[in-house]
Order: sequence, then C-alpha cells, then structure tokens
Amino acid sequence: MSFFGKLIMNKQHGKEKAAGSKIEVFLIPTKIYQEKLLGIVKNAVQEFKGRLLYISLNKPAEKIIETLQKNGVDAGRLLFIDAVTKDIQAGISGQGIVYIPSPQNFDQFNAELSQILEKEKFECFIFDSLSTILLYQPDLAIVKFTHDLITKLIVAHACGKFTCLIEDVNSTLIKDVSMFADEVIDMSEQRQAAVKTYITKKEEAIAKLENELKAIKEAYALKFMSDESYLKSKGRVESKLESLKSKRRNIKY
Amino acid sequence: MAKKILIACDGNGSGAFIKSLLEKEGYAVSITNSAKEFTDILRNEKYDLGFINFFMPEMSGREIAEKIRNAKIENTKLILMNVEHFGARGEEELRKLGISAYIYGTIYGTGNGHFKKFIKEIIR
Repeated sequence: MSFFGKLIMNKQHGKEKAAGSKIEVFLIPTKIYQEKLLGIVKNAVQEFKGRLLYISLNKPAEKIIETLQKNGVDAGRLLFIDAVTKDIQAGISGQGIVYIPSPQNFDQFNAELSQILEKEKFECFIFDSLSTILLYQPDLAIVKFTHDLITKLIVAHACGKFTCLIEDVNSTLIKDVSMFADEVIDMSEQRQAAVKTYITKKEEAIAKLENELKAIKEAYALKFMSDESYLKSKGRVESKLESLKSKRRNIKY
Repeated sequence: MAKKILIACDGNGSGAFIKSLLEKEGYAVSITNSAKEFTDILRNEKYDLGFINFFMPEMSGREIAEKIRNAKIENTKLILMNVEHFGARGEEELRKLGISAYIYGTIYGTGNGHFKKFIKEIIR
C-alpha cells in the first residue's frame, strides 16, 4: 500500500489547484463562536488587499456589518451575501449586501450563490457556517455542494474560509469537507493554549540561537576562531535558525 | 489469471465506461451501485483493485474506505474518483486510509492511454 498517486484527467475539467488558493476550515466552540468569527474576518480583511465575500446563513448582514464596524473592521471591503433575511422580508435591498434565499430552498440558494460567484471578483470567501447548512440538507448533499463550491473558489483563484462549530467535528459533513481543505484549524481554548506554548518555546529557541550566532561573530571578529571553524559554526546555527523561523511563520492560530 | 477489479459507482455512467475500458485491457471487472454491496463483496472475495466514486448516494468515498480498512480488508488496493480537488489535509487522510491513488476530474474524453498506464502501475 505504499504507492500514493494522483491522476489528473482532462485538465480543463479536472481543475488543478490554483496557486494562492487556500481552503481552510475553522472549528470553533459555540460559546466563543462570535468572538473567533470576528477574529477570522479581521485577519482576512488585513490579509487580502482585494474584495472579500461573506455569506451568512446565521444572522442578517446588517447585524454583522454593525458588529464589524463597532470593532473597527472596514466592512466596506466586503460584499455580504445574506441568506437569512429574504425569506422573512421579500424585496429587501441594501448597499453592499446581496440577498438570496436560505438553504431551505436549496436549489434556488445554490443557483443564486453560483451566479454571484461567477459575477463578482474576489480574493477571499468566508462561509458562515457549515454547521448551519447542515440543518437544512442531508450530509452527503452538503458535502457535494461544498466540494463544488470549493472547486469554484479554486477556479476563481480565491481563498475560502469555512466556519463550523467544533461540536459538529464528528459529523460526516465535517470529516468529508475536511478532505477538500488545506488546513483544519481547531480554535478551542485548549488547542489555542497548546499553540501559544509551542510558539513561546520556538521563540525562546530562536532567541538562544540568535545569541549563539552573535557570540560566534564576536569570537571571529576577535580572531578567536579560524575562517573554517567560523563558517562551519555560523552555517550550522543559521540553518537551525532558518528551520525554526520557518516553523514559527507557519503557525497562525 | 486476470486481475480482478470492483467498481462502486452511483449509476451515472462513468462506472460502466471505466468497466469497458478496463475489460479491453484484460481485467475482470465487476460493478455495483451500492456502497454497502461494495464492502460486502470485498469482505467475501479477493479483488486486486477497488474503484470508489467519492459521491456515492448512501455514504461518501471516505466512509467506504474507512469501513473497508476497519474490516481489515487490506489486500485490495483502493482508488477514489470523481473528485475535482483534495486539499493537503485530504491527501494526508487518504494516506492514513491506505488509498493507493485518486483520480481528479472525469475519465471521459482525453487521456485514456494515460489512465490505462496508471492503473497498470497500481495493480501490478
């Protein structure tokens, strides 16, 4: 069973992963959902220079805009897709908001969302949330929907951030959707604490190596070391440093 | 003796297409539209290779592969198909499940020669 390969058939159809397109699934505990979601949106606004799409299945877009503005997030950079309000208030319109039916009317929801994705230019798509869509349709239909949605994001060279309640982590949906993701980020407090400890340790090790490098350079300047010994020691420490810094850079959450 | 291949497909025609392609290459190919039947057959009979459509009606390809590996059926190599994209996380999961390979995109159209060669390498 050692062989592991992939075959890409008919490349036009079998879309290869576009450079820069990253798909992330965020697992968030219910009690800190709003706080973490705000953090995800804030980070995305900072990370991407272009337009962002945000689809809400939970709250009216107006409420979300209000929360973002209160927290100093430039909501004008986002185009909101509100899949909550139209079912209650037909004919509603708003600036920077597109109203579509809720997933209760799944075919219509899917069709209108697809139209928006085809029409709009965007760098990042935030989907809030997989747990909510799970309430409307069977798991496998949603897995297929999410897979198709991710494929559209890849074709559009956009990043995707999908949120989900950590309590749903054992559902088929989350397990299957995770297969299409590049990263699944556990945002529980326990995990966050572990990440913090890991980062602290890496930073301590980096500081120690930087001191060592400084000492080597000083010793060489004072002619306590030969050229050969200096280059060897310097190379060894720099290589360790680069590896640690790279690990540190890759930890985001 | 011809190598045996079992295909789990949802009846959309791609399974039948693969079957005819592989039969022309001399493989003994069977096909089922049911995920449950697929796992039952593999429990009782030795197949060299199993093709799994990721989007089967009763359960996903990941679940089918998980059931097969949990049932300790390890001598059948597995290939997942009908997916446009697996992420880095997905590829890691596929390795854990002992999936031999996966096929992006559709089998129809160009590249059949490449497909046959690919299968030959996996099944040898």
